[in-house]
Amino acid sequence: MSVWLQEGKVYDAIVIGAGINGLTCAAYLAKAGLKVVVLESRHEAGGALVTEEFSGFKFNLHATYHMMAEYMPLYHDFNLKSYGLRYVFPEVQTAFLYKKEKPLVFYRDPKKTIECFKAVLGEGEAKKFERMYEEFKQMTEKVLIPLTYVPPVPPVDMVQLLQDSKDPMVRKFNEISEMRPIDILEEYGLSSRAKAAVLSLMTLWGVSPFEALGYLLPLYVVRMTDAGLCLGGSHRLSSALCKALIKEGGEIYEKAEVVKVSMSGGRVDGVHLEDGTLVKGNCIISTLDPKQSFLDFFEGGQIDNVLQENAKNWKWEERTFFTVHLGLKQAPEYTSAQKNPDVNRALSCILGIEEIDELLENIERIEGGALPEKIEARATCTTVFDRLQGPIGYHTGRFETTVPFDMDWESLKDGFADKCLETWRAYAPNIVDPVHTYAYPPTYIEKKFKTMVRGSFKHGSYEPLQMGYFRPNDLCSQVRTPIDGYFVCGSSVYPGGMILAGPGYIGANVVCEELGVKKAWEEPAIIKEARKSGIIE
Amino acid sequence: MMIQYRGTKMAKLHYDIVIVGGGPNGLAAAAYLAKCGLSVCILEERLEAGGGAENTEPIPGCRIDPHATYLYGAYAPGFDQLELDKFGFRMSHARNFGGVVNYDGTGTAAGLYNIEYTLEQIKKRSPKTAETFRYLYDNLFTPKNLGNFLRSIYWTPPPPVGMPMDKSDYPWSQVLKKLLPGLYDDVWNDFSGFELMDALWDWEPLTAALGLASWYNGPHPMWKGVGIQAFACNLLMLGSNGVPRGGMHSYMHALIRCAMFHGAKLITNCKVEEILVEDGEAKGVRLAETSPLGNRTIWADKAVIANTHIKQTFLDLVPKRHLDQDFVQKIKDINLNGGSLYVMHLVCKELPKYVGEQGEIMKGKNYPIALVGPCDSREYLINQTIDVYSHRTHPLRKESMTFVIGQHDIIDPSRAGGDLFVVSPIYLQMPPPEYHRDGPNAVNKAKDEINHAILGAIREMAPNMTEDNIVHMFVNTPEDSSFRNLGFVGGNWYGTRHDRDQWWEKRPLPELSRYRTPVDKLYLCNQSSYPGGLCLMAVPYNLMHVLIEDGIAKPGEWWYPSPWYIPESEARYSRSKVPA
Repeated sequence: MSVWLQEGKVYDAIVIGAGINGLTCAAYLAKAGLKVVVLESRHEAGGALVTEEFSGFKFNLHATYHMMAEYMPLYHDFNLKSYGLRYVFPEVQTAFLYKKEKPLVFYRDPKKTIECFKAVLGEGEAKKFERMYEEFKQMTEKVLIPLTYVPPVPPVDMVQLLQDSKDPMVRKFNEISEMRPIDILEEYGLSSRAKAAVLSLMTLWGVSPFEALGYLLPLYVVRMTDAGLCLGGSHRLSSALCKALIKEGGEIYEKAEVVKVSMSGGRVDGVHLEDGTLVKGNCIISTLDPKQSFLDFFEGGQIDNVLQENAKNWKWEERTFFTVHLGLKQAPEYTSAQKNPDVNRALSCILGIEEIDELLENIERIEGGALPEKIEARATCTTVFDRLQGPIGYHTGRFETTVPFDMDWESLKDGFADKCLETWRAYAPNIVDPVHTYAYPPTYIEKKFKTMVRGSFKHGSYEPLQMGYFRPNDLCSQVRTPIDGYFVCGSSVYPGGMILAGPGYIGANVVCEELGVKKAWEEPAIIKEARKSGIIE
Repeated sequence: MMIQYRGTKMAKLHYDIVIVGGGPNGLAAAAYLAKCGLSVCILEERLEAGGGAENTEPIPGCRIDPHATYLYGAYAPGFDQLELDKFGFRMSHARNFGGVVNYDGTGTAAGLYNIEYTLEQIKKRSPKTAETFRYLYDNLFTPKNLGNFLRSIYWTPPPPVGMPMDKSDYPWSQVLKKLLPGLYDDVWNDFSGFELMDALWDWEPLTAALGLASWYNGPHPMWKGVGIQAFACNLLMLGSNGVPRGGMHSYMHALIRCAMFHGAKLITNCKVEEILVEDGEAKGVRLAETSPLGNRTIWADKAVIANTHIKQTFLDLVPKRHLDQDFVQKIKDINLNGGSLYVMHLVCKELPKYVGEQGEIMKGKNYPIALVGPCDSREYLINQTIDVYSHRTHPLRKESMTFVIGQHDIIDPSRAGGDLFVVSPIYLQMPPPEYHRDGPNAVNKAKDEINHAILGAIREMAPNMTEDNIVHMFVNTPEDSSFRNLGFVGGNWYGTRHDRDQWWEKRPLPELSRYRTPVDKLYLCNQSSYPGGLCLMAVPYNLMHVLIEDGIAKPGEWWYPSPWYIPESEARYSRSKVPA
């Protein structure tokens, strides 16, 4: 009855995986005039940008709000607004709640945050935070954001570029970039509570405070207090991207699971699907994890040992997520709101622990494979900002905490969800009798997405040997691989996951250069700036 | 966030066609019109287009269709005219599409494309039925003849408004007369489904099963005057013989991509507040404040097409001042009772193993994807009808337990992950929420009881469906459906009741049957228009005839109209047979 995938057609590029990076890469390649097809194994495109409806409640099962929203080049290059994508940026971003004292609130406007620091932790802390935030902001804008959208350079060269900069802030960035986040905060002299709050902005996303990943701290502190919420749910972003892709002439197929990459004469020439179809293409771009990209898709002898070893030794995250999605009759009303009413309008509230030692202990415990004693969580109620995400008169809640993967989650999940709700209720007494409860343990993450092995939502642990120029390894971090015609640009590739659309954007640029195709887009101003200042060669 | 849109001067938004609603009919209309070269904008209120043709994962890795689930429209000209296969549409076909199961183990499997096997099964039980079936198979069920028959019913616009038509002039009467000479009689048009089937064969389980299936597809087998349609809607399903690969929503993906390929614009999360009318003519729509574009106006230069339910269109969207009071009252009076389904989806460790001989038949590839049971007698169905229509309550007693049980896993193993199976959907008929004697909330409150009753009956037929076997259960009540799918007014899956008073030239009202409305340039394209639901792409195909006639759409070579279509210019209003 049907001509599946237009038999006989040879595509210029086959993109494996329709997550944010696959779609981004494909949309750009289509814009450059290439014949592109995206193959997705699930029934719906979007990857982690998944919004599912349960009795009218829209649950963002993975990504909820996006840290790079308007900075993603694709947002402007494809005018995604015209496809119905719209972000809101809540004024009150993150509130750090305490059982007794005034809450510490991070606003989108740093001046207000500093005011709050003054009121909660005193003049001295406010000054320290102000200095730190100002520096972090410069580092983020001058270095981190531009570097998110260009291929990485070897560490030695990077250090050289940063050291040679005339800008003292860039040089300072260089100094902190290989420090441990926890030590950086020490250097700025923050108090225990301030440290706990600032560090949570990063550690609740599964990033370890003990790894030498200091350069990520400014990014998370600045961008996670300026996050955008996708109206209608985060799936809107992938939906808009799909439309852009089709508008540019690209094709996309779901339930098209790739099982093998086909090769001839030492070069890739297509992919085999699970139903036996062979899709022909001149180059293949995988956005999956290293295990699938380099082990599952090839026969042992087809690729060299270094790549195979590398993929075999790929490390998944130690801490993954346990989330409870809730249909609520009321938006949470926090007791802290008596001291600062803004708390009820915060995009997310961090609750459960108060001091830095508690936080670090908790992380060590989870990384050691045990359930946390105290639940530290990020609680969000999307319907406060976006009426579309729940039925009229109801609210959609989300309570997210980090946990180890190796547990008998099937029997634990309901009990743990109750414990989560209890924790939430300690801060917001009106979280009672939810009309809908959906406990989402890490085992579900793995079941839903093959790329998120062991619930690894960033496609692999963030640690120095798997980051920057080494993500996924020094041979492939710049999108090209030792296999002729085979490219990689998923979250397991530089700069990583978290809905940055960085790998996909870089991927498209590199593939265009490789094929000698003219790019049909301009570099964002922020990258041009960085080129001028010499940070990007 | 809204403020920045106010007062900012932006170019006027103009499209040739604005379609309110991105359900299956709205999307297919968009694809057709965009392919005609018109600029088209579709506005969908929910977060995803596709309406009732959607997919979700109640637990990760297990995919279900909360509403529409089987493909009915394989004979739709749309597949061919819109070339959906080029946009990723694929089918998974079944060897045996249907089957019956009974408490006593006497059920069997059957398939229109597995006819020798099917006839053999029927013959064992009733030689007369097998004989009729063979005759029907040779004369009516061949792909070409079946296509003709179904297109004459579904893919043909009703006659011009006010044009009288004899039973013998109905398109399907003409087709049946030719295909089944000697058997067909015009009196079939007065029959109910049961009457028609009783005239054709005597094997009760077949009659009971097809009767139930037709009720769940729209026309109840005891409603007079829709017997042929009750028979035909089962043939839609049996003739299509499968499910879209990847789930029902993948069919919508193909439609969306086709529409967009031809230049249509789809905006989701975009609620329309009002259809703007000036001088009796639809001019465009005003969006809700919450839409991505704010409360802007989108102008339609050629037409506004309402893919919204008929009640929403005229009671919510078109301001009352533009409408006649009597007309508004008639819209309010449209009957929704019939087609509100309770649906259960199960994720199981093993598929149901049915008792007795039927369990032996339903193994491996022979396992059908749509079972009906118990149906050794039509009594169950009649009892259920009494509960739903007379007592206006949800069926609970064992005597009224009979339902459709789906198992697409047989032909699409990707529905569930690993070693699991999705047993879905299991349908049970309900009164619409506002017709329920205990109030609109009654079914939602009785969920546990209803689930217990359904599972109790299933367990008696398939003892392995124990609690231990069921990993997860997902239930949609009619009220949930109307919550979830804004067009499912009253939880009705087919728009309005599919009875003779709301069918053919009377659907949804006699003056609206040709998709035109009292508001110029406003056209109807929802399942509340003829020929109703089931994701057939039939409403938009039929609407195309009218739009072509009105000079709005000018399709290319790819278009072909229905051979039974009567243009306005050929309408005959005065006929000798019109009673004095």
